Amino acid sequence: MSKIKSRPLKLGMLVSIGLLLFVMAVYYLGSKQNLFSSTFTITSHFSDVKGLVEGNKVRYSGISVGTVSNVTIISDSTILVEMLVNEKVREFIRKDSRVEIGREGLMGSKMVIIHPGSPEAGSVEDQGQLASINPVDVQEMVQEARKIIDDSRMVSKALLEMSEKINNGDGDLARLINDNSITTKLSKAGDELLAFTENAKEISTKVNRGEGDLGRLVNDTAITYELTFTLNRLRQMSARADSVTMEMLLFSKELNEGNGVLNRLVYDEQMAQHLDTTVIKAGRGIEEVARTAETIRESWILNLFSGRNKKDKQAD
Amino acid sequence: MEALKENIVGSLNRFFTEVGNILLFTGQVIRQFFSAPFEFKELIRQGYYIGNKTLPLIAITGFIMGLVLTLQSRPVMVDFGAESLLPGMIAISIIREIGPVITALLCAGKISSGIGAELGAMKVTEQLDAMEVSGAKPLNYVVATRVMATTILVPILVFFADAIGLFGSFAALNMREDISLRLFFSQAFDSLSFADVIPATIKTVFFGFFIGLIGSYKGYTADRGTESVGLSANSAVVTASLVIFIIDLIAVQISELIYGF
Repeated sequence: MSKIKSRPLKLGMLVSIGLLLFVMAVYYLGSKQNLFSSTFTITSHFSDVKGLVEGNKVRYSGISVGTVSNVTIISDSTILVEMLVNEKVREFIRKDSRVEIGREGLMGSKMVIIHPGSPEAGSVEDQGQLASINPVDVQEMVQEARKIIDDSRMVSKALLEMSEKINNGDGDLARLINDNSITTKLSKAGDELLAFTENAKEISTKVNRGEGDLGRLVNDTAITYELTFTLNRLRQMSARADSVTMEMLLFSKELNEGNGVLNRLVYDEQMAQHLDTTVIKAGRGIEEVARTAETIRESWILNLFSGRNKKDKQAD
Repeated sequence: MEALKENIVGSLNRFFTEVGNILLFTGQVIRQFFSAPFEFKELIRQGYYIGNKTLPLIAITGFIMGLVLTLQSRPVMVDFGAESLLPGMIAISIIREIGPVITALLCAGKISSGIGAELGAMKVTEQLDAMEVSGAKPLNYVVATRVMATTILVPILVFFADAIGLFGSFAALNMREDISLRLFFSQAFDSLSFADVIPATIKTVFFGFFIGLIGSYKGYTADRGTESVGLSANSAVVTASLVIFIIDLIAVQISELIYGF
């Protein structure tokens, strides 16, 4: 009896869980297609939509943000694509964002890719239109790939020619590779460099030990003290020389611009003439004095009183 | 030649008569859905036997179905470097076609044959006649409840089969690689749309209706001999399976017309 009573319960559970699974699936699919969230519409014009259909995804920076709601031919070269995009991402989609038709993987279905725009342009409005980028055609890609293959073929041909020349010994690179004497020279240069390094090492060892003038210079602190003392003295002398130079400068300035005797002596021609005249006159005066003195010395009166003539005669 | 012609004409005659009888029977059953008394207890009882007792079979089959389908498909997808598309491909295969059809065939084998045998036995033992004599309406009490139960329960069983099949696919993928349940279901549902789910669900309602109807018809119209019980059960399975494929074919054509795939 209890088993009969539990039948409705078990059946009810089965039906409820089954319906719940269905509702969950419908809700999950609906949320994937933004059926249960607020959306806004963006439009864009393309010349070729490459198989884009209603229901394809719209991605912004790799995130699925909406679905294609309508694809309409409006003229012979223009197709209008309408997209329903989640309202939450509207602030990130700018008016200068660009729209491109891409593919999910190599074999996936088509989708619309919205490339980010600049923040200065502001957010796109409802029913706003975004500029489109024409999708890359697989045939164009194949043609590009063919060009790249042709270029690669030419490069490989050039490389083949170059390797042949190198093998034949043409050119500097070939000589570098094929000529053993260069290697020998390089080896010799390496040996010399090694010897030079050894010498440098020996010198540095001696310097560290304090041998020789350079070693003493580097290691002896007394020399450093003396050098410091000498430098201080030189610094003092330099300071004094500066002071003397300043004095000389002032003196020369005073000499050039002042009204002293020296200035006039140097720059005043009249004074120079006077001075010359004075010197000449002084010379003459000295000559006159000398002559007068000679005359006096030869004067007989003085000789009489001084007895000079007697002494001169005795001396003779 | 004349005998062959007569044979063909006779076969066609029997076929169209059978179709006509089924259509008449269908009309009578549908009328019973809306006529009193409504046998709710019998509906619950039949629902329990059809739904709960079939669920373990459906669950095991669904799990194995998802597991095997994934293991068989994976090497090909790996060769194409499209391993990441595997959850989506399996989800579309299971939800759009394999889940409903396999579940319906299992129900045809278990439920339709059961109904055919049960009603055939009731017919042979004249229980149906006794019910009619006593004033109870066997079409209302016996047939309409069973048909309604299969119509409601088969889609529910298909939901279970789909869900468990996807878990089987997830288990198969985890045998070969590491994929989280969340990522698996995200990839699976990325490939799905309402155009996959809605037609598949609608056709399972028709599967359920015809599984119950054909089982009931074959049992209700069984002959008087005891061997008729086995024959009606066998005929119910064969006819129901055939009708399932015919409905599936029609459903694909209608889906193509509506959704364009």
